[in-house]
Amino acid sequence: MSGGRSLWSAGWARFRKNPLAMAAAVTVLALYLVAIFAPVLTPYDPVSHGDLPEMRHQPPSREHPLGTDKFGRDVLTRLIYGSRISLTVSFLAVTISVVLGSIVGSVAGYTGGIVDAVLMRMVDALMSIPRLFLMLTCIALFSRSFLLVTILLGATGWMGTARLVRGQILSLRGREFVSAVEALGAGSRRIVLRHLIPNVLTVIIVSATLKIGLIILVEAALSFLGLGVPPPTPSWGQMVYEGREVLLDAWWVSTFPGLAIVVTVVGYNLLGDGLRDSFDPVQFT
Amino acid sequence: MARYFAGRLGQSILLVWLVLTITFFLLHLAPGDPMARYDDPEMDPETVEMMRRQFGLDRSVPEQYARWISNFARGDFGISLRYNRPVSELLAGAVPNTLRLTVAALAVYMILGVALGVTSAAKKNSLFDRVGTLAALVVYSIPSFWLALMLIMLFSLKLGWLPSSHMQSIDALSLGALELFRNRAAHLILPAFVLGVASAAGMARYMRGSMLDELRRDYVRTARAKGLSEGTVLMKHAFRNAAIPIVTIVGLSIPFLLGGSVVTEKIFSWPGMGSLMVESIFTRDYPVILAINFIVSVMVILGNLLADLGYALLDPRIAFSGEEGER
Amino acid sequence: MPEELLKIEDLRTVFRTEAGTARAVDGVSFTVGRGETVGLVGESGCGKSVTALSIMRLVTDPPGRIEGGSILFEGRDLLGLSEKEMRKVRGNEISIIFQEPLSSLNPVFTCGEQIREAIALHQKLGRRKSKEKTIEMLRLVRMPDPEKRYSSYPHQMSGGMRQRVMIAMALSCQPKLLIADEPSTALDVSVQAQIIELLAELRVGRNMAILLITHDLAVVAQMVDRVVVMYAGAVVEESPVEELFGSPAHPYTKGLIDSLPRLGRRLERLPMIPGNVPDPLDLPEGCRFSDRCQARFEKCATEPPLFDLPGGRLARCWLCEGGDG
Repeated sequence: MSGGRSLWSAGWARFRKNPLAMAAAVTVLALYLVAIFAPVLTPYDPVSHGDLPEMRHQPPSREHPLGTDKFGRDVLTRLIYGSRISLTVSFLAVTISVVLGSIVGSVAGYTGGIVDAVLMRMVDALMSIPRLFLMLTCIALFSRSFLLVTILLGATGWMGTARLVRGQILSLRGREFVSAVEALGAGSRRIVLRHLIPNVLTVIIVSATLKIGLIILVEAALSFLGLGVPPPTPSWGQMVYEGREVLLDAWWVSTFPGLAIVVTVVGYNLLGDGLRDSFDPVQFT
Repeated sequence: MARYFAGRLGQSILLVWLVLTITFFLLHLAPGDPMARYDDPEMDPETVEMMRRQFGLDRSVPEQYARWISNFARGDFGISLRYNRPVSELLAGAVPNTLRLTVAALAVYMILGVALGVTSAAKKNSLFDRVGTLAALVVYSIPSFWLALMLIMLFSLKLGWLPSSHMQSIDALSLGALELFRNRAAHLILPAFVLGVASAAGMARYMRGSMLDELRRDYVRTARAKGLSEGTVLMKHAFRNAAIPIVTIVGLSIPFLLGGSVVTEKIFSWPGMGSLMVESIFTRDYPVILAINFIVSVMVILGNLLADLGYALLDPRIAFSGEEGER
Repeated sequence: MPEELLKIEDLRTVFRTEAGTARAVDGVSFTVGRGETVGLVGESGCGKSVTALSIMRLVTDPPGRIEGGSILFEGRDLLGLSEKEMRKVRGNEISIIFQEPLSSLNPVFTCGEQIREAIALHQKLGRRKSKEKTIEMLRLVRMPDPEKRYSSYPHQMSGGMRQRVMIAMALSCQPKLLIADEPSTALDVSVQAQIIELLAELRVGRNMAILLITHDLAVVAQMVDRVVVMYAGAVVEESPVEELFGSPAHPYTKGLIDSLPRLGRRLERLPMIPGNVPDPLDLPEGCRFSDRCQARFEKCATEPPLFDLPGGRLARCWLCEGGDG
């Protein structure tokens, strides 16, 4: 579509004028850089235990700006490495859920009829089982691993995207340019891929960004329950859990990983809000 | 109206059946016999054999499926592997506790959310509105388990104002009725707040938008043109319209509240379904896990059904059969 | 000329948008006498509805704002009243009915309740008394079965009935001025006439002035005493109704009247005024109508004042300079 380019640049222009959204974008970008360059940023090891007992539960100091945990490990170092789990798991999971949701949504929306009805009832049913319960059930059935947690987070979060994409496709199908393409004899897969998906892309990107925050929260909750990505890899939720017995004596062990989660999720949510305000097609019509 | 009623009821029953089917296939699509994964060396082979029979794993898959559906429909969820008691008995103890917590959280979330949202809308673009909107987004992004720990640290450990766990004190049964009520209420405050506050942020956001939409409508101008005070225009005319969809929102928030109850119950040692679920995951107590899944799904489906009916009752534009429409 | 009830002087109302400031009402002055019916006429977007909302002080702020001028009602400047004093005027001394009765009524309250509320507020009546008065008002506006219709919701009524509810609401406190903003435009043609007849009938004996805002000159001819024509936020002509139709002074008024369908004159297409209403964000220099005007000449590059014409008429056109029409 010829309107595509101007839609993107107009959206970007709006986005740049929103200081909150720009700050969020910078924050999220910085988080990724921290995760990538973790070994460069900190001299300590996130996993191996400190040798000396007196290193345990050290309050924040020059050497350990966020203190140490019960094994004498540097909390800041573990936070930096922990960002790798949160960011990788959430990114992969959101990709899975968006791809799955887009496929189901576009098949349902484009095919219509009985296929649509069956798929949408499935979506309804899956949405009736609260996500955490569904995930916990699967975790009990399979053996816990990084891959399982990631796939589960993705596989239990696609239903919203499916509904969204289906709705978009249904409203776009009725518009003239699709009928025009159909009249030219294009195959239906071609229609979906070349003409419909690009149109729903902005909607998908916005919803994915808003979804990442929730995925990070669910992943952290699983880790906190001891059912997330297995140790020794440090994850933020698990770090909060480790500090819960020493809240009064070593408050820093739980407090900082929690703050890291808050900052990350706020960053993604503000970014998503900013993207929606800038790119939501509803605003131009 | 009656037809709509019946249609929605049928839809809900279909959903319950689909949920059961999905859970059944989850159990059977997982690699191997569910019991094969239950490799606890302390378990004697006899018990494992008994469980095989209980799950009907010695029968054909269609037969198993039929038994599974009919058992669940009758409320027979089998025997807990860990407690060696009927699952329904365990649930009878846990479900009311979870309900008490979620209903309290619902109250927190509706009162806080509606009050903040309406105030924000009434003072649109004021400092209160700007700070409130941002604060709602931050609250929405706080992991509940961390918030719980921070509140426990402040209110229980530092200030000693509120208890940090359980539903009541150990000596609660020796208390008088009023004291017992106060004791239980004190135990409820932190968990209900933790469970409800994230949804309250969402509700505030919704309510603000919805009030602003209503305030733009023509009937608000008519209300003002009558000489009504701004308070009446806001709280009577705009609010009544903005409030009707709240029922739907509450219905849709049930899965979030139930999901959140898992973590909240765990942290506050609240003896509900969430705690039972986590415990059963670690001990792989499949009958309990599956029964809880079923119960929470039924609660969600029922909640949505009631929300839809409530909406139909509250909105006069949805006509009841027997009443005339436009002539 | 009857005693002055409403006197608007140099009213200026603007809307601030991202694209700039739109001068929706730009120096409007006119009067309405006690018991008089005045028509405020013009194409949509000419500022007539904003003028009405300005009188009620119901312009949404932001983006709208009354920037200047005065609105004297029985000698009091409404623009100088506190919000509290203004609320005693609204619905009580000045009432308004709007174009779209369905959206103007609250969908979740019964029609009766919406009328009763105004009566209870301004006449300090209790629930029972105010309900009786409401039913009386419904009967007055010829609502069939008023007791039963009291408990009907807006969506259960026809468009004409809803507009009757709006009229009952507006008249319930015996206002001295009724502003009717396109009261029949959104209705079926057959119902339009009924509503206009009802208004014409109700004003008799109440000594109620009506400011009738419309783009429909046929309604104007049927009902009003005097006409104020607006174009692009300004008054371009003011005249008693017979003279206006007999010899319109402003080229714009001429255009409007020529575009009326007339008995005995069958045309393929009605003559339309060429061109578009100017953008209120960017009003032309000089006469606002000049770029659509067929009688345009050099002088039109400067904005004409309102010229006094014989018979108490006014027109904002250089052609009328010297009072020769």
